[in-house]
Amino acid sequence: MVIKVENLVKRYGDLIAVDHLSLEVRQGEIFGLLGPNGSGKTTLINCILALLKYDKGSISVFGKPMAPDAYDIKKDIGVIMQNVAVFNELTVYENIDYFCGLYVRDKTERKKLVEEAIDFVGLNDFRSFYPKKLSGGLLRRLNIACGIAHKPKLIILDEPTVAVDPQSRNNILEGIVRLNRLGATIVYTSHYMEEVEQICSRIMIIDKGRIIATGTKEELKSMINVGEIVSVESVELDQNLLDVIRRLPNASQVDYENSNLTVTFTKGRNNLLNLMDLLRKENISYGSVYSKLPTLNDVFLEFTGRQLRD
Amino acid sequence: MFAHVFKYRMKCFLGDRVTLFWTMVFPILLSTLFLMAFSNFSKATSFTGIKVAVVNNDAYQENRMFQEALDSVTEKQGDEEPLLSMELVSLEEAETLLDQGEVHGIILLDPDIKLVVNQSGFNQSIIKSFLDQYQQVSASYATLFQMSPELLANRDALKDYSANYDFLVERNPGKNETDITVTYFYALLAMTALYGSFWGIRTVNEVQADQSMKGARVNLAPVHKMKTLLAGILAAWIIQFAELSILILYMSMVLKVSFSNQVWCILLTGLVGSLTGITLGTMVGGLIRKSDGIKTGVLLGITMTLSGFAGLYFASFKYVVTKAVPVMAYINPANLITDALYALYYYDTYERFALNIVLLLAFAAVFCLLTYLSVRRNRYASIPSIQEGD
Repeated sequence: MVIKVENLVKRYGDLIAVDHLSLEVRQGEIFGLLGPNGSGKTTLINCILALLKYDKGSISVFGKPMAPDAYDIKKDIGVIMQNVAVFNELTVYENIDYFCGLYVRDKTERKKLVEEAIDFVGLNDFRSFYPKKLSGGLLRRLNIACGIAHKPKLIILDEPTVAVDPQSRNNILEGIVRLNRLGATIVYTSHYMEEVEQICSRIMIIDKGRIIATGTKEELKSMINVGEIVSVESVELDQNLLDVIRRLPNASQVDYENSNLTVTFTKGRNNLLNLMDLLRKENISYGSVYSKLPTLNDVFLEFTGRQLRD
Repeated sequence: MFAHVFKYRMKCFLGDRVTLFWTMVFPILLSTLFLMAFSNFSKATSFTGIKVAVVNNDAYQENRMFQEALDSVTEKQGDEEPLLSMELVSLEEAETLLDQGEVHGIILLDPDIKLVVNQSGFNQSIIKSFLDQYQQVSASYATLFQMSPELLANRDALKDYSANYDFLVERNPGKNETDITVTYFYALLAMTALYGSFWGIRTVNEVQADQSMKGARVNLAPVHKMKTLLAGILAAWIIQFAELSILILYMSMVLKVSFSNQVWCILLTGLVGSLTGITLGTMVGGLIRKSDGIKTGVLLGITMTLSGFAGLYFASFKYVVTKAVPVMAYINPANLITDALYALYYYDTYERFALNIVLLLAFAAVFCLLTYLSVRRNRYASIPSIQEGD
């Protein structure tokens, strides 16, 4: 087990930021921590990293209790913060060298690691640039390079794609997957469900400091009743026909607005086919038809009654 | 590890143009402005001869003694300006000059000496004092000649009865002449030394996880926080000392501000003053857990107040404060720095200088201790800067 958190409680005055939370992060996985803003993700990460005091519980990393002076543990951890933390007075190369130097003393080895990190994030052409000359996306890449240059076994990324353009975001996500393939265990926090769904092998959804659900994305989706959501555009329906649709097998919710029909089916077979057969039989014309499987947002919605981005 | 952090701290500080401006360029500009202000000040207060018209008539031409007396007060004596500025003119011209306000008075020998003025005032009183003194001395000479006619042949003996009597001689107890303007320059040096606190704030902010993201990164690394803090303080100290030395050199070589000749002692004052300034900054940065702007504002207030008490705004204020509250002389680091420079400049002994240096070191030690107590924590109750997005 790379990280083990047991019964963690962290309070800010009367507010419980982390509420009796336990988790385990396994070797080699990309563990996603998904939750809306203010759900306690960053507080949890800061407790794991021994930056924050906590009220109750225990935390161990690499099988040893985590503490501020646990340098033997810290040397194998890389952290990429949400906000860029680099020195404006140092070049790209110097920034990476500085932070890498806090972990690696040997100059020759460090030089090699810095070169590899620059290569990894694709900043070769910008190595002598100062951060102020870099675009937002390149700056994020530098931030990542500063966190991973020392080749850590555990990499914690706290919302690394906030305010990043789509191209840079894809670049970052691909990089995380590559790091994982190279052997690093990843903890990835985000409130973007698509990102978490895209790269994480296991996901924990948290809200108000509590665990909502944990599992692979398939496991999470199987926990809810939603099996399929079918949308039909430009369809004219009367109340009688809507009642018939509501009586279709597995139909759990029917919404009709502005000639657009959305039917949510619980798990089952031939849901789309049944709906199409009914419309054909009633001689109802319609436009485009879409069917989508449930998302993590649907999981969050079913468990909390709120959208993930509320 | 220490050398690695130190190297990059030096690079960061040397690239911090804003702080470099305030800790080096600004004091240089201010010292130049001081010089300009003081040169105008000395021009405004410098004495120029009182303008007087002397009527060039027969009585004047015949009175050699009076002519000599006039020469003695109208000719420049070394660096001192003459008492009177004389124009030898006809009576009509003299009257015209007086009417036009070109001269303050007319001296007319008719044959007795008369002073004609069209108003009373300070300058007119000085002219009258000179004439009274002359008449008094000439009367004495007349009496002497009557009593001892042989004195007429011995003019040197008459010098003893000259009109210029100096009863008191001003003597400086120190080794150098008193110069009030050095108070301002020394106070400016003290201010600059305390401006080192800006480096101190930055140094301490960048090792605390609850103050900056870079601080968080340092706390996550397998390196003792105090090691990075010490490397930062050392880098800041070297840079601040170099800046202060450049300022002293500029003041001394370019602005010609008077300093003691004991260069090593002056450098020691700069070294200790810089350390006091930087540790003041690390202490304030560690104790106040607010934004950078608030910390800088607090330090600016402290620095300018302490420098003001040391004579930065009014040289006499330093003495007024010291007289009213003597303990202020010992608890104000800015005053200790100026006083150390004074002690070197004015006194032959090192006692007062050494006392100031020891007190400055004591301050630095207290600031270091308070910095350590405020920064030593390993875990934080909250980390606002990191929680922004959560």
